[in-house]
Amino acid sequence: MQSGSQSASSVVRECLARIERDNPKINALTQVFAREALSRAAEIDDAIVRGVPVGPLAGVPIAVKENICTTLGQTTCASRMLANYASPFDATVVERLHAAGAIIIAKANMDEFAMGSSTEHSLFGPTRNPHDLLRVPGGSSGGSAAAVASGLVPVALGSDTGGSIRQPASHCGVVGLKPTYGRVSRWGLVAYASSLDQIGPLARTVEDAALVTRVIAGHDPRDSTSSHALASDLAITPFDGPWSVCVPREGRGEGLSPGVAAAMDEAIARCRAAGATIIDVDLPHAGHAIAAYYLIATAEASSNLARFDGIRYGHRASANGDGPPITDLDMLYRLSRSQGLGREVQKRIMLGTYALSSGYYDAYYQTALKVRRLIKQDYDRALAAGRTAAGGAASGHAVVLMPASPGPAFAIGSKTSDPLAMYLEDVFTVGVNLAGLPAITVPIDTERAGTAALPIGVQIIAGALDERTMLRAADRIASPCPTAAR
Amino acid sequence: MSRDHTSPPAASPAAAAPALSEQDVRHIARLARLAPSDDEVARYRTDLAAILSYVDRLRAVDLAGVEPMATPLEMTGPMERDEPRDGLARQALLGMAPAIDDVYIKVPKVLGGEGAGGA
Repeated sequence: MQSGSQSASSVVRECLARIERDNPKINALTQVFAREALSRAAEIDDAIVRGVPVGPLAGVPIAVKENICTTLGQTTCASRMLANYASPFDATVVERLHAAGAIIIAKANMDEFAMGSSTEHSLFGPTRNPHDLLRVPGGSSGGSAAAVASGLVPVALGSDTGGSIRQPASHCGVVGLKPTYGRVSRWGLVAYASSLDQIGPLARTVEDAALVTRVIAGHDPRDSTSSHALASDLAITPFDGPWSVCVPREGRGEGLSPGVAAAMDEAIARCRAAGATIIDVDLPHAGHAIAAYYLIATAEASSNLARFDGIRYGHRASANGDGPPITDLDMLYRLSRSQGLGREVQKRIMLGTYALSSGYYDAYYQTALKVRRLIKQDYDRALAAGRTAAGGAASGHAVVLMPASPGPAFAIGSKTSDPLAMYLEDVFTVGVNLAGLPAITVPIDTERAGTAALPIGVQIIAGALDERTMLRAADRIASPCPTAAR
Repeated sequence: MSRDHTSPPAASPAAAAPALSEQDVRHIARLARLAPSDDEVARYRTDLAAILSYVDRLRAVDLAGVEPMATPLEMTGPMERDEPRDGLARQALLGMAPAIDDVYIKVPKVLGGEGAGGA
């Protein structure tokens, strides 16, 4: 763009044309800001002509998930509760994208309040997988993944609380990066589970994902959990020493689809060919991750979503419906919440409320927090063993290789009735959030299902703030994004 | 909103797999300020019972001497300088509220009584 080979305006016009043509089929984007994007592109083209410095993302159109606050349009969280909510501020990540010259062109579909793994539970209706329109794109950042996979935008932001960037990236055949907890400011991200939530990019290459992460990372005084670590190491550099890849037995066991098992083998072979030492490791508590995750995430959600009370913003129950009259404040709260929030969201709020309630707090919430520490220690031990195998802590680098999901994208509607089937989609991703580690999904191969070729990605996990090693490994093994049929 | 941490549901937390009753679900819904219909209560009971039975596996983990981990950061609360900063404008904040009257947010009667009141 800065070389002048293509103007920002022409890039935006091309994106808008693709969105108009293909978005109705996949329903990935919920709001499109055509006028604003074109006017912003004209400003950037003008700046380039005048020789004014523009940022590293100058003229790059980006879609932003519906739970990230933008002053453009609405920030709905794909919920009736926030259907008309216009944020009076931009999230820190959006401010940083603007400052880097990026163009916010659209909002992306998601599961309501990021609670889901399929992007089926949305105010806007389901998003479809561009590789097979009868299948889900994964979730909850399914709109972001599908938009990038179908070429509507080159990059999109998602959020990842238990796999919501990495699992849809795998199902749609794109790169999805969840940074270390604290790398990226959460200010302006509508909170689901504050100790797990992290914003990250979905892109077509590891390099693009790294670049966007570098732009949005860094300390923000408005998020006290954001790290002071410098973002400059969020770049792809060649390995400067031996490295090893830890393969957990838990990630090669039963329950994987043939395509996922083959993609793991292929990824291991590519790592070996790239010079890595491969070691087998155990994550003994991995089997408890889903249980711990759903107690911790829902406990935090029950507190975070208490703010939706029909008073300060969002849906407010009115007495002129067919429901009971609203006689007091408590009834206004209860009716506003029950009308505004979807069933899955209410279910998770109740689960979290139960886990935190008197008499159950120790048995559920505290127990889950202890298991969380054991899960983190499993990863620490595995990575330490990997560094030792690669030549010792001083020079060795290590990553963990895992499937991103037990299978390829599943059929729309096939997991909506069983409450546990959907949760188990996240079996390989939630541990990373509990431990706060960085992880990236990269495309490896596809799995045949009828006439469709369904993408399969794998996950590379590194130690906290060690995105550098994660990116190096990811860049060595990623396949190009498979092309989605039109 | 405040949450009432008192009066737990009747089921015993020591039991292996808690049998969740519809009354328990109504109690949780009240704590969470939700108003499910009777049909919904029945469905939530089924779903929540299945999930609780699944998470019961955590009871088998040996947790002796393990400290709870509430956040990956494990830092102590960072102190901020106590300097005034601009907040959002009053009009921007009022503009988000579903029911306002001049510079006030309207709510129904807070204490007892009948009928939806004004500000």
